[in-house]
Amino acid sequence: MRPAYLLAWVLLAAFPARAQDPYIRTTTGVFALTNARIETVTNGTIERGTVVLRNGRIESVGADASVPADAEVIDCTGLTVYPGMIDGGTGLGLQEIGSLPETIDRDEVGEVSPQMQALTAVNPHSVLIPVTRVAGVTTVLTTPTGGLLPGTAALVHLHGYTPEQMDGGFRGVVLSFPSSARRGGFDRRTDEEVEKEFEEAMERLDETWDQAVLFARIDSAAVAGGHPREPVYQPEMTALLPAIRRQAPVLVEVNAAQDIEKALEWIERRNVRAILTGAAEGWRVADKIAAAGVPVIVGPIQRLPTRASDRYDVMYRNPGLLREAGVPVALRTSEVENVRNLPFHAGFAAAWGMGREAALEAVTIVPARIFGVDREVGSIEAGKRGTLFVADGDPFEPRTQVRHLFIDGYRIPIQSRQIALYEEFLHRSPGLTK
Amino acid sequence: MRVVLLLGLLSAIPVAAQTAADLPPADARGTVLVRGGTVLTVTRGTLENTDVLVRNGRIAEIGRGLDAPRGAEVIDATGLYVMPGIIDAHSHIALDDVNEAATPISAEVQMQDVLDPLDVSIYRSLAGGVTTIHALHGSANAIGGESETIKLRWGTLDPDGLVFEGAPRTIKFALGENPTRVHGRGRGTRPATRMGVEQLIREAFTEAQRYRAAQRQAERDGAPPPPYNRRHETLADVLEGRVLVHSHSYRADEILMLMRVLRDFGVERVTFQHANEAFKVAPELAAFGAGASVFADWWSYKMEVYYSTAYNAAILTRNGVRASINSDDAQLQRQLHHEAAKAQRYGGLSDDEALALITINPAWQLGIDDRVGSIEEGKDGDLALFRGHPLSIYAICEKTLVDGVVRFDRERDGDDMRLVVDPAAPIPDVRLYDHDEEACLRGALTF
Amino acid sequence: MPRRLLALAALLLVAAPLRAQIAVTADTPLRPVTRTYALTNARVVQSPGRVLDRATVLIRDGRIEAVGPRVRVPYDAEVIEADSLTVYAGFVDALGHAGLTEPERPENEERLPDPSNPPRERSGVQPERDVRAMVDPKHASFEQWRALGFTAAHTVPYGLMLPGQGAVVLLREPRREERPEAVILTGPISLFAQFEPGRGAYPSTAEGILAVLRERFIEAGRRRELGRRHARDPERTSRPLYDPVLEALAPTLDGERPLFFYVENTNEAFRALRVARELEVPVVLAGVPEATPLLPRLREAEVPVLAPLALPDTVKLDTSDAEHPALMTPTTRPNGMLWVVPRRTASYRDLPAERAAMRAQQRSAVGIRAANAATLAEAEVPFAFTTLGAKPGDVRKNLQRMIAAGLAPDDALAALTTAPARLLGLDRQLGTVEPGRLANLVVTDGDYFDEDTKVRYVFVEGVRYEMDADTTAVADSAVVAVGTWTMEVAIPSGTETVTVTIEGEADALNGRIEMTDYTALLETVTLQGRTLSFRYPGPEGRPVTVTGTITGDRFEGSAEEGGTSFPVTGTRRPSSD
Repeated sequence: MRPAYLLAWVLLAAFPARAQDPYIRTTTGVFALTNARIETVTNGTIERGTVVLRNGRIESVGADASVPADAEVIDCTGLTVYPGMIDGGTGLGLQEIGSLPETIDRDEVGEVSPQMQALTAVNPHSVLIPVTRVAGVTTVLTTPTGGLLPGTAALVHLHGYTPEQMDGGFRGVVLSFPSSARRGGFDRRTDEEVEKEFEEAMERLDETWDQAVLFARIDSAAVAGGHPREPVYQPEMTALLPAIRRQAPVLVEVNAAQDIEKALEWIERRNVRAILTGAAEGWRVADKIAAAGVPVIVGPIQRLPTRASDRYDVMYRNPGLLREAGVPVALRTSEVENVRNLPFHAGFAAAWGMGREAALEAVTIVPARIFGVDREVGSIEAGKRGTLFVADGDPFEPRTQVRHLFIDGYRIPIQSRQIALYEEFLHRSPGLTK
Repeated sequence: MRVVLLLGLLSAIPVAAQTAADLPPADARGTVLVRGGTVLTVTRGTLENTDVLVRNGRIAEIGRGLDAPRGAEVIDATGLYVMPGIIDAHSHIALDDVNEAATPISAEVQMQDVLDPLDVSIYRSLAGGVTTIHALHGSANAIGGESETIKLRWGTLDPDGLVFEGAPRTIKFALGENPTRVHGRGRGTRPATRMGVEQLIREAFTEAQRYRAAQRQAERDGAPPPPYNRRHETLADVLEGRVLVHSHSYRADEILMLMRVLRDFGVERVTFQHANEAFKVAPELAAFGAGASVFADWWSYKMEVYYSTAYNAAILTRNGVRASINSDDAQLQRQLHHEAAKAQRYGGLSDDEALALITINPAWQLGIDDRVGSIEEGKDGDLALFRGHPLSIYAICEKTLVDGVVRFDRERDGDDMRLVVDPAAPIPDVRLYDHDEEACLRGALTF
Repeated sequence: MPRRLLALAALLLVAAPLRAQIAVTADTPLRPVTRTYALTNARVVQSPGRVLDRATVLIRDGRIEAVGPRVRVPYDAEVIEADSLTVYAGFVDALGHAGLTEPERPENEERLPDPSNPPRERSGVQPERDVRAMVDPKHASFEQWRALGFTAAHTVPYGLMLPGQGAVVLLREPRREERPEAVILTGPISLFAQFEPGRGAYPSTAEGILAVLRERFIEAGRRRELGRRHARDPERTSRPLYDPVLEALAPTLDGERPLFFYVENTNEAFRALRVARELEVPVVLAGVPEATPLLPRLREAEVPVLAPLALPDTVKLDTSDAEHPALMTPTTRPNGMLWVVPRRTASYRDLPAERAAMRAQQRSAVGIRAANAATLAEAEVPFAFTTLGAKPGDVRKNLQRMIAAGLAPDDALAALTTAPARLLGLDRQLGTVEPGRLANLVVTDGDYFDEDTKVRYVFVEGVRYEMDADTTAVADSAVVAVGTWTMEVAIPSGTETVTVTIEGEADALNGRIEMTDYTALLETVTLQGRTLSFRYPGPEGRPVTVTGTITGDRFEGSAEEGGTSFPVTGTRRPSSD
């Protein structure tokens, strides 16, 4: 009884509709996902319906959507369709192996280097990408790190052979706002040292921004014409132009409550379109963030409290408390190799006050809106990109298996090196003896 | 204005909120009846609507309609899941120091000497249902120090109050990148390669053998003993099977290497820690009878964990290797029930198999499976009460009992559960933790 | 008659100059006219609780000859009319670094080729070092502690885990005819231990330190046994090889020289107690800032404690904190250790209450430290005070805070006098005002623990130190660093003249340095006793550290840059007002 039962279990759970091909070969065409439960996110849940994908887009969604004759039909009885999840902050594509600098392209030399483009260094062939997307995470923001203005983050879809094919359309300059928080348990800096470093960083930020504003004025005048001389070549400031002109948001990385307050003041003073990221102590100033009308990308959620005196669960409750105060909240993992855990971070947020529905929004439609790509992704709606996954249960639940995956209408095999290793080694041959 | 403030205040402090000051001492042993829960025994299946009676810190009876002894605390567990206290076979919390990294072999040091009962991580892990942890020496050295199995008796200020009395001695070994990076590449001292690691261990074992032989000879001759050497003493005890080996390892080749060495020296009990590539040598591990204590999904933070798979625990389990899921990290430790649940996504383990990864299996690896790791009569009253099944993402730990004493109570506990307040700490003291660095290299690179 | 002769001979012996002829320089003090003093009509606190309201204390040749209301003043005595003064026994520092300069840790210490087997100065296993060879009686610390009333100090070497053996010194200058070592009162009486790891060397951690301690002590025991066997039967047993470390541990192993273990927190205290118990060596625990959780262990093992004279700064409450009375109500753990408010901070709305609670908690944590000595007294744990970690300028204020936190003044006095004397095995020489004791006295114009009281005289083995009425508080407030200094730095190519301006309060100094074409702000300006030191970024970008001694308006010391040192002299410009 037991071995037979086990085998059935293993086969069912372990080899979910995978391709026999050892290579990951994606296909495209017309697909009809029938008899599916559909969580559209924006228009409620359809208990039994069909989603049709054509030309990379969702052609139709509904309980009574018809199945086109040319469609490959995928029966989704007992399964649920979800929009692909979006991680609002990762290093995916920019880093392969954490301890090997040769495999890491996140931190360029220089405090001010906003012209560094994350998209340029995204490695479409990273082994980490298939590992991530088979969890239903289809889209991530990938960010440079390091200095004050370390570069420009990019939204990428997790399928494509060139960065261009992966381009999710959004760009944002990253600003590591000066921090008064200490780094880990062994940071022994005194209050005075912390404050001094904060002030110095603040000065550097303001100087840089003044220069950028000046550069933008000169640049506008030059563009307007009538000047015999070209403006100076200044790549750092050129990269800041969209931010200065409010054409693009600035991703303001800030975590300690007092720093968030200072960041909000700075955003207001500088009249910047901002997205707060990190916001570990966002709940402490949730009312102020809400009043400023700034959206927040919170995370990681599975994280230690920032203060020893804090309640143990405060990081889990942070997104719920922010949302309750009226702040638009998206989630992120801040991960590289384990971006696949985004649904689990969301699940924690859901369990600890945010609620499942809001948590699902926080990894789908809310980040899509924050990045201004909500007409493309973030929900199951006709006309949007065919970026979705089909699972046999709640995607936040660990036991749930993702059965089908589509990115931009491409059907992606549920395959990754981790799964391949599983298949090879579950029953290794030869075993103990050859 | 004043009225408003006071009202706000009252809502902020439930009358029953308690601080760590109310916690009983480490030697307290509770008598408590946990009534009407769904009992996940792990070893004897799931028992619906069942009572668990803990008397003087030990599980006395499991059944329905049990009577509470006089003076017993009664906990209504209706609608809750009752599981054995979670066990983490790899932790570095509750330690003031982790690595004696100045020497590649430091068998003479003991983590019992640097226990920190004031580490608030202890409370946070209790709040995740964890009751027993293996506080390990770090991985800077080919042979590190003796580790310490401790119970999370939050409230004691005496480090010895944490000690899991009667637990076998254990010692940390470390193979691969960490010892070669710290000593070989860091300082130009051996080992710089996996070859060096092997020979260092063989040399240390051989010297310990000769040391013990010389002691025996002197005893027979009535001569004075050879010069006292704690390193040799500890390793001789290892060779005599009195200390369990727990070896930090990643790659399949180094796992095989250590099994060969141990076999050569007659050491039978070993658990491979991390062992990201244990799945590649699962048949060999099973044949040796070795355990593996692995991450649920950590990988790619260094070269030797690049060829990893989150299906590791499932492959090991299916191949008959006693596997556990560990944390090596203060955050992961407080979500170990969730880490175990990942083995359902990655390999489809059953509920009991997944729960065993964080209960009876790590207990076996630590040699304490006769005391903890399942809900059975006669075992310690270490229990975690969850709202929602502990393998569900929505599970929330409500109460944690150690020796029948409630040391975490979600409803009752105040926010600030620290045991001491540092009079010189800044206010506020904001700290951001990133787990870029393995906890087990703490102190090794900055020394 | 013979007895008299003998006494005379002894007197001659003592008085005979030990060094025949020493050159007299401009600075050589005159010989004293007499070494006999009579403090008349004083209030004499002979020991805590034993007070003579109107008595004379007669001092002769460094010892107390008589105490009482009817003591006859001899012809050769210099009379000090002490009608309004109080005489206490001179204070004894139970553990400190009197007379020693803390060696600076080189910034770029040489990397050891093999850190696992370091030379002993890097591992810190140096129990054979004898502090007596290191003490400098001209060291500023002697004057600083003496100004507070300390007359004797148990001093131990600076160092790492086992820095060496301690001895008791008298805090006076050697007399004209004495060698400097004359101020050393005892032989080695202690073995000093602390959790100070090796520098880039084994043992680099607390667990390493404890492992080494155990191994060395157990090996010392083995070696002792070998020695005994060899002594019994030298012809058939091999000699134990000489090992200075093992030899130095033997007296402690024999119970003769206690381990004085300095600990910075309760975790370290538990560790020290455990290892001492395992090794069965006598231990004195020093520095314990919060003894409460240790009390059962201390009583059980009968371990004395040396409580720190250092205390954390007080925490001020905000006016807004008063709006949260519920959070201000202490809930103390039964063992008096913990004070955390049972609060809930559900959202940003509760933050003002949280802030108030945090401050109140911290204030309470400070209070627990201030009550530490009272706790020890109440628990009847034998304790004395240690100056380790304490700044002289804070000591009297801290004693007042301890008394305000419940320490009985008599217990405070005992912890400064009788208790350390007994602990150090010197209760027949130190600690009370009684005939036969060394003439170590503190003479004040009131109760020592009153804020306004000033120390007027300190006698150390009969040598009188008179304190200026307005500089008695502490030596370091008598020395002022603030002002504009002209300093001359002797560099190889000549002399560079710079202007250094120092501003601020004594405990928060700052300033700047100006050269011909370079100006920099000073970092970390500190004045400890008479020692002024500061650092600044040099014109070359490398940090320069200046350290020296202030004497009045003169400064003498050195500037160090990248391992090279240059002499510096300076004078303070007269202030313009």
